[in-house]
Amino acid sequence: MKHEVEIDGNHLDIELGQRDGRVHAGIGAREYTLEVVSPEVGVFCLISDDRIFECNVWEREPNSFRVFVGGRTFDSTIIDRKHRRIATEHNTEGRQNLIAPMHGKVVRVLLHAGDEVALGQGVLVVEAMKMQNEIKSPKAGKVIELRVDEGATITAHQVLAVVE
Amino acid sequence: MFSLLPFSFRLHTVMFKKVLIANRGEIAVRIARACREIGISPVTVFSDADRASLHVRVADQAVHIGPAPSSESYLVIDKIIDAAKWSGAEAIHPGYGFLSENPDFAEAVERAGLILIGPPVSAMKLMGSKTSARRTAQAAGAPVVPGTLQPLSSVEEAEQVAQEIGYPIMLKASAGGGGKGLRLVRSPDEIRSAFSLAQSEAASSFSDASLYIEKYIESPRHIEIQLIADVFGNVVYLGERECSLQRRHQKVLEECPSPVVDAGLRKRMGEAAVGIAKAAGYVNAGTIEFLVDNERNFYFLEMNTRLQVEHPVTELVTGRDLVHEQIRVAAGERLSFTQDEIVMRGAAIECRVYAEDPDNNFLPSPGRITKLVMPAGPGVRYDGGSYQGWEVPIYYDPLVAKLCVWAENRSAAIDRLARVLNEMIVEGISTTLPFFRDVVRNEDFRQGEFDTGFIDRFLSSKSKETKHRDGELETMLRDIAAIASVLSSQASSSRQVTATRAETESRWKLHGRLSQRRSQTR
Repeated sequence: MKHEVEIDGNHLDIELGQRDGRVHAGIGAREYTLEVVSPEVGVFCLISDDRIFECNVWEREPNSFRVFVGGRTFDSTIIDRKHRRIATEHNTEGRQNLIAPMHGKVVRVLLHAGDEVALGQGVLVVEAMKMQNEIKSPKAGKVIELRVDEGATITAHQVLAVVE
Repeated sequence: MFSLLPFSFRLHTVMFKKVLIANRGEIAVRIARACREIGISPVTVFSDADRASLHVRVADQAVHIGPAPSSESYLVIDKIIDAAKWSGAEAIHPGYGFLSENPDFAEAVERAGLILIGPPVSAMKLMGSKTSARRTAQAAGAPVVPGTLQPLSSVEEAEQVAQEIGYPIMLKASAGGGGKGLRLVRSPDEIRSAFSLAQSEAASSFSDASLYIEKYIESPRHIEIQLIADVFGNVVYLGERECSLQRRHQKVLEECPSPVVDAGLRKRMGEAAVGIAKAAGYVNAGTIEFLVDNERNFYFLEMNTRLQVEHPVTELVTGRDLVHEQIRVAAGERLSFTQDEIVMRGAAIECRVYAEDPDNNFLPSPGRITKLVMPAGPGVRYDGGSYQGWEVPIYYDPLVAKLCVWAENRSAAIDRLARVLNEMIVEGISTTLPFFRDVVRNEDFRQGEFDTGFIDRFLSSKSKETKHRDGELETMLRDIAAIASVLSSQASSSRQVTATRAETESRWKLHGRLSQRRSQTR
């Protein structure tokens, strides 16, 4: 069966099959024959003839993983072909949301709705774990909406403000 | 006639039965361990966010002190004093951070008839304010970095002073520590925003917004001397710690000894440090921080009048327990060792494992730890404040654990650290472990060639390097990781009942294979 995986900025097509109790994987010209053992939840030992690869797999979100193997950490996403989303080019045209990068607290609001904003100018200051970070505008334009007040507790990925 | 005074004083030194630990996280756990080792019952305190934290679980008693924000719990002096009285503790250990360097707290402890496991109020005041500390060091004959000796009264004054000293300058919180309330300012147009950020950080971290200015020394090393003093005027230094590996002026990796300090320089720095401590009338464990330039000149930077985060590396190399000694000294005992008895043996390194995402500009990564595997084996010391299933709160410092190694020399310690870092696994939150795994592979680090700017340069060169990281092993590991991801997604989408039997079966197979391998390699 064919699988598509995005891993560390690379797109891999993996042909995966089972024969004689072993997993056979083909990735481009590279071939692997592996015995698979899962000694505990979230751990997969992939055993080839000359090496054991112990993989600690953390499912961060559905179909999104962080794998620790051989001292290296890889972030991977499995692409579901049926529900494949077309990746949009990241640009700063039109309206832009200022997203909270982490859980924390709004300690200061520097600009208000209607204010002009320059590229890279701080719009608000967020404190998490005792460090204060300015949330900066990704573009020059105008603050058209401010969705939080000073003192508000915010969660990661929450929209804090909108600039246009 | 002979004086009975020292003799009778000795008779009154009775070791505490109960100590209140006014802190949280790994340091509260570490102090509780020390208490148990010397027969003291540890009492801890906790906020709403820390009800189920490790430092509560390891104590004999724990006292609730209020809501999650530290300004309403760990920083409220009255609540800490009440907790100590209520529990019947005779002494309070403040750990680091929070109230540990707050003279109002030290005074309140004294007024309440309790003992602070810390310095006398007078010494804390003198050395706690960085401006008067600079004056004290200068008077004791130690070299200091050019800057203001008084707190700044306004941003206008800051601008004027910065102009006089010349950019770049550092803005620092007078009550500061741990990289909070600290800003590097390279040019006049940055100073206003830096001033207000540093001031508000200082206010929220230390309840004291005052700032001062110091000339910024380019590419210095940050090396500090550990010392401890008793009430009889004995002051002993326990070698140095190399703390140059910093990010945002916060230490991330420390070692003992420093790769650039030889016996001669150690003695000069150690004696300067002892001189400063004596001039301040200091008692307790303390640290004198120095900047060391490329010509190995050293300048007094500040004194930390408390136990340091990185104290374990000194303990590993000197074989002395600083927390035991702190408690004994606070109870009025003499230091259990003299300067001549301090011997440095081997090398130790500490990594501060933070709940921060190194791939996302080290943003805090609070959340639930779904998996935690602690490393073990020879030469490992693990000081943690978390456990599997615990949720790292958003309110406090994101230190998850301190991972230390010891070995016979520096290069063996680095090899051991590389092994140990690969044994530690944390899932559920991002941590700085992958970052440390990269650092130990870096040739400049292995050679001991770095300054306080190393991490920033390392991070910017690394982002270029990883883009064309393409060895054969790297490719294979990436393939394996991708295959494991697919297998994992299949396992989580269809957890079958039959899997249990298959897994058990193959576990035996794995065991067989592993023992086969072992007998082959033996």
